[in-house]
Amino acid sequence: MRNQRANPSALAKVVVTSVVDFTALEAAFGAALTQAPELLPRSLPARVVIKPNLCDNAAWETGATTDPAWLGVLARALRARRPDVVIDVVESDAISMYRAFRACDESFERLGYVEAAREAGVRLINLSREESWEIQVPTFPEPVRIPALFLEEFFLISLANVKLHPYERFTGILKNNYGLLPQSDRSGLHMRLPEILFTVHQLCRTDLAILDGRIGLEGKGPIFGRPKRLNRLVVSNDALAADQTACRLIGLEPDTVPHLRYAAQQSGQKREEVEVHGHLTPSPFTVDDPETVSLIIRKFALRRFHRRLEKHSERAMNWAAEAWHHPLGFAGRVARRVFARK
Amino acid sequence: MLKRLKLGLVGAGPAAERLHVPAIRGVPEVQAWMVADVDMLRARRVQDLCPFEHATNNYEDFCGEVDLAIVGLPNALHEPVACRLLKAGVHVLCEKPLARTVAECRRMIAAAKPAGALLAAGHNRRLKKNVLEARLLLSRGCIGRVTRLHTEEGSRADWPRSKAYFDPALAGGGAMLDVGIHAIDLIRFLVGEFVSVEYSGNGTSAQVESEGHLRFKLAGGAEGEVLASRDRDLRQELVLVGADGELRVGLWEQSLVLQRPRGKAFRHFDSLQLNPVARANDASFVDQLYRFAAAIRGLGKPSTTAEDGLEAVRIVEWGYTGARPA
Repeated sequence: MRNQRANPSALAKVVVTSVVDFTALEAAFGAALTQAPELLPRSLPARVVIKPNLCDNAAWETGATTDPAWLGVLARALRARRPDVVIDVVESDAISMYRAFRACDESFERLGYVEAAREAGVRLINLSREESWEIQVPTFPEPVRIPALFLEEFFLISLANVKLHPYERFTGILKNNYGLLPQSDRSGLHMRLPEILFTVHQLCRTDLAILDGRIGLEGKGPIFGRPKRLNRLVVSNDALAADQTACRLIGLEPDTVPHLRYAAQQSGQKREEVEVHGHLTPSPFTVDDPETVSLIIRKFALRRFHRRLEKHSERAMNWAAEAWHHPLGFAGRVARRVFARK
Repeated sequence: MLKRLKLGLVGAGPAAERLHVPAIRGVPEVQAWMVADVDMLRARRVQDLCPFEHATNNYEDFCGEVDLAIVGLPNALHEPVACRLLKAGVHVLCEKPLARTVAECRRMIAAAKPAGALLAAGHNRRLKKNVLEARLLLSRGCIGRVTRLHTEEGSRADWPRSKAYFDPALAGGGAMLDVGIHAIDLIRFLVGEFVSVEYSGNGTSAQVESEGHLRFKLAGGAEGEVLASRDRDLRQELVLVGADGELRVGLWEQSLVLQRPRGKAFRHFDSLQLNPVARANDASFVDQLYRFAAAIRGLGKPSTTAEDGLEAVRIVEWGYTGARPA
């Protein structure tokens, strides 16, 4: 395996800026880039892919989705560095919180992305309609379907919101990138969420992570939570470091978030390797129904156990059947002889 | 519903039992009508497996009875049997190699035309999922222009071979014509035409080769080699090296591994195992028969045309004789 970072000796850098005026988004982003210009390099690849968080058909002011105004802000910043850059905004279809299919094209339309994309001159891509491949990687026990896009070279900007989550406790960049997987029903992967999020993180590294914390979501979590003004913007060249910083901003210890703890353990990233600048005073979010958390975690543990049991018994039965039928198999011959006697 | 096509199977050997009978069962557009083998016991066993309506020891009984036939006989019998059936208007799907020589292949193609019958070669591997996915990746330029190929396939115990496999007169060739022809067809299917070949093998006039080695150049400039053996267990894979990466296509397992120096996923992983779901049952024979039946009805072409079958035989004969057959 290779090291993901182009320059392995470079530190992960996180900049936290304050945004009190919601309309001053461009200024706040500009201020972050002024503090750390290397976050958006001059030598950009020809293609930039932006992944917003469109987890529901809810306006950005609810704190659940990403503000479409970001498309214009990013397009201008990117073209200032490379005028011929091709910018794509990607998202996948999903099964919504209401257990109904939600087409991402509909979300693009209803959340104002179609209009914003037209104005910014960027393309909108539904990854569920694009070519995809099923792959097996050592970091996840089951096959994963990835978009063909992952085989190409591009600069990924992940645009997420700062939200609580009922059992992962926090969702940010790593969880946002889960939406890069093209299958609409990803619920089957939820019982191994830390592993799959880390796998996606490795398969498609975020080059620029932006956590729009103007309005966060506390309470019940990523869709039904209560909007809360955090008035911060977290910008980083490292997805994990950005999420960890955002966690601290809302009063959560990153190690209590299962997928962040898992990613930190697997990648071996240490806190002293992350350089953080800016306004770090926490503004704690409140969690509703903490008992639900343990209930859901227990449910997933049970599902994992059941899946493992199913897999092992299937393997044993396949092995027995192969041994039985194989013309040269020793076990098969012995078994046939033993049963023939009976 | 369209009328079902009556199917005849010539040859009730291991290929019929293991490969063609499951395929026939998987294609409802055809009706298993008649099976023929000189050994009536074998014919009856295969008749029960499918089940076929009739069993016979004379393939000529097919004429006027069946719409299409699968020919799975020793190589020397492909031409006479296929020609007889084609002349009677029976469409023929002939097992690989299409025949022993280019001249025989030409006679088969010539026999098909006047009767309006369709002749196809049974190079089923073109329809394996990993091969189709490799073709898609190549068409997308995923590894750039292919510059080098290496393929090896061989085992001492992969298939129950009768005496006909080892007799130069009956087989027409050894490991290269029997095993290596699969890789040759895949190379043509995936990359392009052969422009030069150089062969070495251990065959004699009394014995076909048990191992053969073919070096070649393709029209696009790529170079490579095919190693086919009945003596050694080899890696059973086709490796395509391009200017921008490498693809490893499993010839037995339906595996496909992609390696690229650039690309988002390759920043962390050296290679990706595509198509990882283990498929115990190979559906390529089913797809081959389905496409052949569809082609008879005028819907598309068979997966491997007779001309493709002829080209693969031409490469092997070119290697054996040292001169490109006309």
